[in-house]
Amino acid sequence: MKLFLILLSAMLINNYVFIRFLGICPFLGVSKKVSTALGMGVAVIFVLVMSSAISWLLDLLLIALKLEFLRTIVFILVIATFVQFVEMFLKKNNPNLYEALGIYLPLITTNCIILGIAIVNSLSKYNLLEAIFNSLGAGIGFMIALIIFATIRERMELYDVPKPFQNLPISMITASLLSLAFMGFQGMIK
Amino acid sequence: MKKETLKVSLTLMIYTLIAGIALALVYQFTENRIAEAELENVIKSMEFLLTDEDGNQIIDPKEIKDSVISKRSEMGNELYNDGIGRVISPVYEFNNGGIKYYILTASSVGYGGNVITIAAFKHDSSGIVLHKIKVIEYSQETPGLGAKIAEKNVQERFFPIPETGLKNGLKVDKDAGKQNIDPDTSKKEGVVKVSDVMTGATITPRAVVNSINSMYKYLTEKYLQGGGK
Amino acid sequence: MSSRLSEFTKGLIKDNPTYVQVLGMCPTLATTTSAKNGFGMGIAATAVLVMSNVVISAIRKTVPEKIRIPIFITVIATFVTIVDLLMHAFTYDLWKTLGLFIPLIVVNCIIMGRAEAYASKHGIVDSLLDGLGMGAGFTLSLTVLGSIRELLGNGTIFDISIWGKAFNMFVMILPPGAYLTLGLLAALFAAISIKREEKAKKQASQIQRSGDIK
Repeated sequence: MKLFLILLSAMLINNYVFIRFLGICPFLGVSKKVSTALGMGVAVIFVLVMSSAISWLLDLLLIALKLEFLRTIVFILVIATFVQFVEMFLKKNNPNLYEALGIYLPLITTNCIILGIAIVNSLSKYNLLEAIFNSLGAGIGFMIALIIFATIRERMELYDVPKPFQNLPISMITASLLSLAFMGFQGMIK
Repeated sequence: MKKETLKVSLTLMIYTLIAGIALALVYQFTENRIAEAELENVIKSMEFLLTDEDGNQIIDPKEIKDSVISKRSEMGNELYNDGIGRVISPVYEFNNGGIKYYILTASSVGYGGNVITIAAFKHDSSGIVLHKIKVIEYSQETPGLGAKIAEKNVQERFFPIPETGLKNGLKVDKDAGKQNIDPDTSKKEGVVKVSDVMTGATITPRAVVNSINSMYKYLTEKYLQGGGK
Repeated sequence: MSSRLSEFTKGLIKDNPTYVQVLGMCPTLATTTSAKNGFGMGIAATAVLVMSNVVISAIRKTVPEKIRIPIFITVIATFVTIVDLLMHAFTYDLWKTLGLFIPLIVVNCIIMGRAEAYASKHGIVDSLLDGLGMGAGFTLSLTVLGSIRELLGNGTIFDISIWGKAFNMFVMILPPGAYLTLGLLAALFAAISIKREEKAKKQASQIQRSGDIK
């Protein structure tokens, strides 16, 4: 039950993009087309869950050796390595997706959501299962946010947006409305 | 090809090693100061807890500081856990002319993580009163909603609570079904009125209330019975 | 000397990391609940940016091309941890408030971006100035954003009460307010730069015309 709550919380109530502000850079860059958004979302979920699990295990070692101050550096290197592997894997096995994601694939490394969740898992002292559920929920929430945003932006391409508002400003204002909507989920857990 | 890979791996390892050493050095340098800063934070909270309604110190700050420092090795152990709140060691005792003050710390699960409350209970001939509280950890609560628990006027809704209110377990006004009560009457009945200052966030104040209940239970059922430490 | 100065000033408005380059969004939205928080975050990030720019510029000739990204990451992460430890020790309250976002400076695209795009290709002094400029621009953006949100949401700026509780749009401190303010400020920036472009075009065509008439 608690696991389900953690999942739901990370996904909707404390949605990491609209409420907790993680994962925004790629959010703006990749959300122009629904298909790329979907691909990016799946890639992020994968990297998120796997690197959180690995980081969690390494964190045990860090705590045992009293080297907690090395946490940031260890986590980010784990993430970077993992993304490198995913890149190599996709290049060989799914070159279409590799091309479509382009520069945004290595940029998953700097996606604050991945490092952020790893650190949150550590700070909240989750056990391995809770950490995985948290990562899964965060990733799904990220993907939901990305897809919703992409569908809106696909249509906005056809609108006559005033020049100063093009790109960043109108995206931000749209995000603000979506964030407002997502705040409605706050009432889900009493 | 193999020589190339070896050279590259070696370079990476050297850089990582240098980084590790640099960090270890900085850590050595800051380790003590960090521990001090954490203690200072606890001392500051306790100084606030041990003031009266007008803000005057009841207990001398030096006494507070000595007490915290002398008990620093006991910090962080679980003393009591009723499944809703966890009481964490140590318990601090102060005496002011026959009136005893007990400082306890407890944590309870809030919205996104642990919410930690430190509380002062006043014990005199008429019984135990919750004197003051301070919520010292709430970083995983939602900014603007649950995180409002940090505000002074919100925390003031949680004290002082007389024993009549503490005995049967403190409740958030929403859980007690008494949302139209006024803040001061509610305290006597063991109800904390927060729905007007913390709209839409019940979980965070509930965590604080759970912590207070656990602390009260521990204080009366275990600590005072067992003669304390 | 003026070209050195422009390395610094370009980060303030023309190439402002937040509104023009659209980098470093996460901390921008999360830590600007007040002017003080935004400013603190900006300074911390600037410190890391300057230090990592200098070091990366210094080692740029000895880093093998293939592993430059992991090495840059190691350098940046080291400085972030140093800043984290120093803040924990010496600026406890700010450290507590910024919380998770201090280690997240590592993945702040501004720092990695400048390392890759500039520091790895320029000398130490230029990289230092570039770091200072971008950092200053970033700090400026955060402080302005934080001030607006604090003013409209709380009636104060840097904890100094301007109009108290008289006019409070609470939503400003909440997430939607962050996005909204950022969007409007970005639109303002864009509007200003569009006006500038139009002015420059007009001047250029005027010069051309006067050249034709002659």
